[in-house]
Amino acid sequence: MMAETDIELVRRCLGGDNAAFEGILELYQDRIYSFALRLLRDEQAAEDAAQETFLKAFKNLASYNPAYPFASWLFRIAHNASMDALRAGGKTVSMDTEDFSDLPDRTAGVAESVAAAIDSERIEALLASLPPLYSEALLLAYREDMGPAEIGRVLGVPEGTVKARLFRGREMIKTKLAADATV
Amino acid sequence: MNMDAKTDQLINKAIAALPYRRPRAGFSARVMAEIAAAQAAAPWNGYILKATGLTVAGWAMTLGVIGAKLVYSNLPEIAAFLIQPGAAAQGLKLLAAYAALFGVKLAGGLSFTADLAAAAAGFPGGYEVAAAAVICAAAVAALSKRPAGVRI
Repeated sequence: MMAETDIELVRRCLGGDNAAFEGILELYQDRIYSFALRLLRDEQAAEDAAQETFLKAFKNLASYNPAYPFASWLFRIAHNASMDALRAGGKTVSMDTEDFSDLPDRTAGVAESVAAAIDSERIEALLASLPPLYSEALLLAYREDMGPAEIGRVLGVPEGTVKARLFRGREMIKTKLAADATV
Repeated sequence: MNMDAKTDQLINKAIAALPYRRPRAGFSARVMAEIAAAQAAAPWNGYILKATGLTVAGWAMTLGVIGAKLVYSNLPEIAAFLIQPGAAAQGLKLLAAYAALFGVKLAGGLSFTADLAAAAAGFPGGYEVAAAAVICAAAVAALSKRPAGVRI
């Protein structure tokens, strides 16, 4: 039997079938939890943010516009929940000026062998060392396979800002890789 | 392909290959339980909203009935007044005078209510509801009373 798509499950939920939401949970719980965990770096906080995400999604399901992917709508709620959790934890997440003073003008070259040796553990640590605004843009682009326009909708920023964050995030990673290689 | 672009690709691939983590067992059940609890609470919100709406509608209806009764009880005087020559102009003047009087009373009433609200600022929400009920009751009482000897 073919698995139901998220849109079909949403339709069933809107029709009053709450059990269909379990299907949505099954489809998205790992993705949403992993996203929150990589931003919050705390299992309990990530689980709370994921739970908050699904509760808000259920309550506001009627406001979802099927013209856009369901995933980006859900990730937008997860982004807001995670940012709220970060703020509640006393972390600064707003970057009104997008100031990148800690980034050199030109990133030092990274030896191919060093870049080729990046494994899951290493990239996980590198992403964790980035400010959340960059790590979430990178995660949405490459782990969730979203385009800049879709990421813009998730994060509530213009496409140009998304591209800048992706570029800066990658540059930060390369800087750290180059620094590690020289140690 | 230059080295920088290749490094970018390798970084992108490494991120794409990151494994998904699974929340603790029972996560799905906990979320569904929260949803069920929220849904169980939702009818109460509905009842409270409906009760508030009915109360407001009740007040509005009471005021409407009392206003209509006032007009009905003065109907002979109103009719006698209206058939007099120049009644329309006089009626407008009278209405203007009543409006001015009402304006003065309203300003006084609002000022008093503002003072009352400022004094009650530190009290919990229940006091605001009680104050609103008292004000509504006063409005009903004022409209239902016809001062002796007053004729339109």
